[in-house]
Amino acid sequence: MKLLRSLTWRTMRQNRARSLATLAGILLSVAMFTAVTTVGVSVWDYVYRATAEDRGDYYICFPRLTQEQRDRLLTEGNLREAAECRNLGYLRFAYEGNAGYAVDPIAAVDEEYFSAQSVSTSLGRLPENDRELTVSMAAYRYLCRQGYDLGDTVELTLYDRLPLHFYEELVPDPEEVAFTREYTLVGVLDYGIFFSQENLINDGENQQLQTACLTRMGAGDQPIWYRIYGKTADPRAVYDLQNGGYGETILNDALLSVCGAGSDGAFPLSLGAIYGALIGVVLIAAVWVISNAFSISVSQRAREFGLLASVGATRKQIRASVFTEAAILYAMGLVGGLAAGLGLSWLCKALYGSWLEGQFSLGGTTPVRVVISPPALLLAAGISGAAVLLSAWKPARLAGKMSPIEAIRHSEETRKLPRRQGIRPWTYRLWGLPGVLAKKYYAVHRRRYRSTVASLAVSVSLLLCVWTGCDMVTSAAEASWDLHTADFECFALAGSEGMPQELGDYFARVEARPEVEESCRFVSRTVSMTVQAESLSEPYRRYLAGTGPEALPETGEILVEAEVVYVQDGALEAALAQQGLSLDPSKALVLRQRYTYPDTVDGRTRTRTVEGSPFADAPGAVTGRVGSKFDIMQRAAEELMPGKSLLWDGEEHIGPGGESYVTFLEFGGAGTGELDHTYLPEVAGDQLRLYAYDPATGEAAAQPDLEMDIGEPLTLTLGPELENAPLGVQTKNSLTLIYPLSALEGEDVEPHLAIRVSRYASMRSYLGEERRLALLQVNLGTRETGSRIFLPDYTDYLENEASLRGTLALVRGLSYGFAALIALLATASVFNTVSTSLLLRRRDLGMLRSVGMDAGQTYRMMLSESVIYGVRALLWSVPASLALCYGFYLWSGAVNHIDFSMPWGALGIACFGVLALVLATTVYSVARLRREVPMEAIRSDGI
Amino acid sequence: MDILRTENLTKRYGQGDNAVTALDRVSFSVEKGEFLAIVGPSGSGKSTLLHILGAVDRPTEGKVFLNGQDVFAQNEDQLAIFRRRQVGLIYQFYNLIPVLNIRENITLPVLLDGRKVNRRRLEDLMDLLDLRGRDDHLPSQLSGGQQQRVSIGRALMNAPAIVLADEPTGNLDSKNSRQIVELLKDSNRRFGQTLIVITHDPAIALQADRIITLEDGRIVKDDKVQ
Ligand SMILES: Nc1ncnc2c1ncn2[C@@H]1O[C@H](COP(=O)(O)OP(=O)(O)OP(=O)(O)O)[C@@H](O)[C@H]1O
Ligand SMILES: [Mg+2]
Repeated sequence: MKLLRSLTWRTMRQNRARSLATLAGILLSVAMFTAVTTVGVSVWDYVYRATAEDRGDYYICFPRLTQEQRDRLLTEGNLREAAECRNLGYLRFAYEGNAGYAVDPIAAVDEEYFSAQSVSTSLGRLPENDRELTVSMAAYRYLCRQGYDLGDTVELTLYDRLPLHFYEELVPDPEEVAFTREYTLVGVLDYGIFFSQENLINDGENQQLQTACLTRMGAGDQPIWYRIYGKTADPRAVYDLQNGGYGETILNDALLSVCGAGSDGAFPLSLGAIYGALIGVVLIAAVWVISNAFSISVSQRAREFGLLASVGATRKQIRASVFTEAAILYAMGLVGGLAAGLGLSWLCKALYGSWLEGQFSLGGTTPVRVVISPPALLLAAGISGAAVLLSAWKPARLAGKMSPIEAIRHSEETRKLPRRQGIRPWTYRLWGLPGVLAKKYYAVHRRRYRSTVASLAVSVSLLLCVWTGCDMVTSAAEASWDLHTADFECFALAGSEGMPQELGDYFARVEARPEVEESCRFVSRTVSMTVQAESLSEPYRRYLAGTGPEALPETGEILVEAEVVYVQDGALEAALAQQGLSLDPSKALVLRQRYTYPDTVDGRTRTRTVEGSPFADAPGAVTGRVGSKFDIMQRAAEELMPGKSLLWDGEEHIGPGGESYVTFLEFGGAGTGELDHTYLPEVAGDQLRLYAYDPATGEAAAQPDLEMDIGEPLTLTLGPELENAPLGVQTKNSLTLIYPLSALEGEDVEPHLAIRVSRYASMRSYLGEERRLALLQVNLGTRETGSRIFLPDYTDYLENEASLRGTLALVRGLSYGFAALIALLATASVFNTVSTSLLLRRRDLGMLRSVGMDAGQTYRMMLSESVIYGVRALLWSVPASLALCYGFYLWSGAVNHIDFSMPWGALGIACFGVLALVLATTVYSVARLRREVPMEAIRSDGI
Repeated sequence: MDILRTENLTKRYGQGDNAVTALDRVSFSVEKGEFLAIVGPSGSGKSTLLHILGAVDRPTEGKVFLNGQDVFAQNEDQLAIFRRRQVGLIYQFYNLIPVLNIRENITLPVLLDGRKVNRRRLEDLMDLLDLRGRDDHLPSQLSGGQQQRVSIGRALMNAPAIVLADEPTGNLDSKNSRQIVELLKDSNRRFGQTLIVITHDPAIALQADRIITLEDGRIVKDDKVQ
């Protein structure tokens, strides 16, 4: 036994090259697995934390619970984490002249609340007990004016109701109770951060005005209502809780998406899937590299073991020797690999951390960190350990099977050669002696080369697939995004008063900014109209058929939706003139999927992509009736359910009979959130009739519940197509009609302002400041009672787009990283195989040289061998992956939206890469061969 | 005229305490067409000397001159050409290429030289070596003696100027071994080849023109045979 162990050591030291190659294999795969899992966990961790900081660290919020509901939720709701917030009452600070609006709820919260909402203070600290209070900035200023400051104790009067002003339309208000409480002021809430989050109170239209003061929960609290921010063990369980009878719920969709449970979150899910696939492949690759590394020695060691067996070593002894060696190599490889993998993760973080932080608009303060995940490390250790064990077992088993004489005569390798080995003259003429030798050696080492061919083929295929996939995802995503020509859209917040004067002033201020390059005021409306199906021209029909979920009927009235955008007078004419069009300027048509978008956000480069149009040469006419969908819903709802507050869903559904219907949801009252009324609309003449409809049975009432006018009959003449819409026209996947703003003369409209700017960051801070100032003014109550409130707001399209692009870039980066990793593995595998076959053939090559093979011939022989596997790999992978990609393209339905683009770049890279690899391995092996005197090699006995 | 001359040929293996001096300042010269036998106890450095003469190993010190030219002053490619054209080396342990069949192994030097195989000569050699019908076999399918004969065939195929044989009859019975020696001698006479043979068999040694005796890497005797 002792002898065998020392034999193990000695063989390991003697065959240093082999041991090192095996060690490198173990190290590489452990490192890779560790790095991939660590980076994955870290990226996810970052996205999660950034999202949580931005949107709150909870999955579901129950904004208003009774005590009974709260108790039930906490016991039966299966919440993994719950942050609680109790409304103790409302403050009514008499802000100067603004008493009616000043409503600050005092909320008693638990420790978890602070992290669930990432609350922080701009002054002082957060409350630590139920006697301490951290107030909003507005309340703080008010209290300061009253002579209080942080550290002071103040007696506050609280009310158990919001002022009637907010709720009078909704609930008959029970009598209001006032009471007082004493608090020590300890801090001021960070206004910006707190404000940007889901507000404490979100009832009523003026929620943005409300602020909150926070204290801690105490035994003596008499909460008016409860609010719980919760996390379920399984994020998907929130959807069950939504209908659990807890009244209204608010889902943190962003965070749920990160957890792969978003209601619409196919995108993060696919991101997870890509990453899952990546880990799977890396796992397989790791096992593969290890067994490959071990197989270096298989035949050579098998021979050694055969010899040992022939002099009387038992299988047990041989096995012990094998596993001793494996264990030593594994221990060294594991330590080194884990360290290298973690190092690689740090490197990734150092290189790409700030890039990642810049890719997302969220959580500006959240740093990327490397998360060391023990399960991942354990998995890496376990998987590689199992791989080592299995790989080490192989030579031992082979040795057991081999008869000693075979081992000694070294014949088991050459047995793989084809039977007939005659000299076929043409073979020599075609390949030359080096070529023939290469072919023979390839045949002998076929098994080993098979894995090389496979790894090369897999990496080439992956590269092609990833490349094509990324192209497809990018084009499909870009085709489906609402891309805007404008950088910002300015408008007034709902609830603003004093229009249009104030709004006009605001727009004028914005337009006067030096950053503004182009601006356009506009009003956008969605119009549904009924048209006679027969009246549609054929191309238009095809276009419509592509937009709806159901087959378009051949005859009868059909409902068509269109976007109507009224743009500032002159803008349309300018757009027409710019594109050399001069039809009736009162009507123009923009087609779907015509979009322009900036390629870089701040760098001003803009690429324009224009898709083929189904209208290419058919400007037909559409005749139909036009009414505003919103108006229809609103009016119908009001008339049907007088006195109730309605949340209209307005979604059209297709019933069992193929008919479309519109749903309404009842809100308030029982608060069950269940579908209450469903109506089937019918258009008859100028009338819209709504029939009570039961979606379950598909039966509609005989008599309509409501009949209403749906507007003047209208014929829309389709005007010329615009390639580039005027600023502000957002060309979604729908028919968009553009009219001049003057067409709305006499109507009460609230236009929006679209602007394109030269300096994005400075414009954003200007707009943000405008909004903040207006809000502060309101909160500070500097306006007189009854005066008009005007609140400017804006949408930052560039930022939205940047974050979409960030996600895409992440997908792309991950995919290419993945492909690169696979290529690395393939390279490692190729070098592994080549050096193995070199090691195994050292003696043969020495002999060949001793009978006079020169460098050129050696070179040609090695090159031929490399070319054989390189070409094989390409022949397998290229057609297969192209077919796969094209199949996916057809299957995914992308064929309707985007063209298949041949991945020429990837093909080039793949061919070039394989060529480079082939040359590199050849040069490497010849260089290695030439270093020694033939006799050394001959004496080396294999390795 | 000397075809081969060595000057202070020294070969040391290993370093320090483990160093083995396999050859110690060996100098001698061989005339063209001479049949030289090298004898000596096991481990005396015979094979080492032969490998250096065949340019498949390098001496630690000293030089080998072939036709007055310093062999190891040539570059690798010139050495390769030297090996395939000038020398026929018969190894003590055969050293055939396992993936090539018998015929290919024998013709390897010719093929490497890019020349046409002389079919007649190949047939003759196969006959003489008693390898008929074994053309397509791989070395691993042959007996030790057969393998040795293949390696002899490979050495003679090219009719090199010098044939170096390391115990060419070590694995052969006396009849076969006589035939092989006859073959070598015949080739030596017919092509004017210089023949250097290592042997433990006094009967063979006595057929040579000259016998060099090595002991501990040194020439202890250099006798002409009458
Ligand atoms: N690669 C090597 N490394 C170390 N020592 C070596 C090596 N090759 C040969 N030797 C040593 O050099 C000496 C000469 O060896 P060589 O093979 O030339 O002997 P030999 O005379 O041919 O013996 P034999 O008649 O047994 O074949 C021996 O002592 C041997 O141990
Ligand atoms: Mg010897």
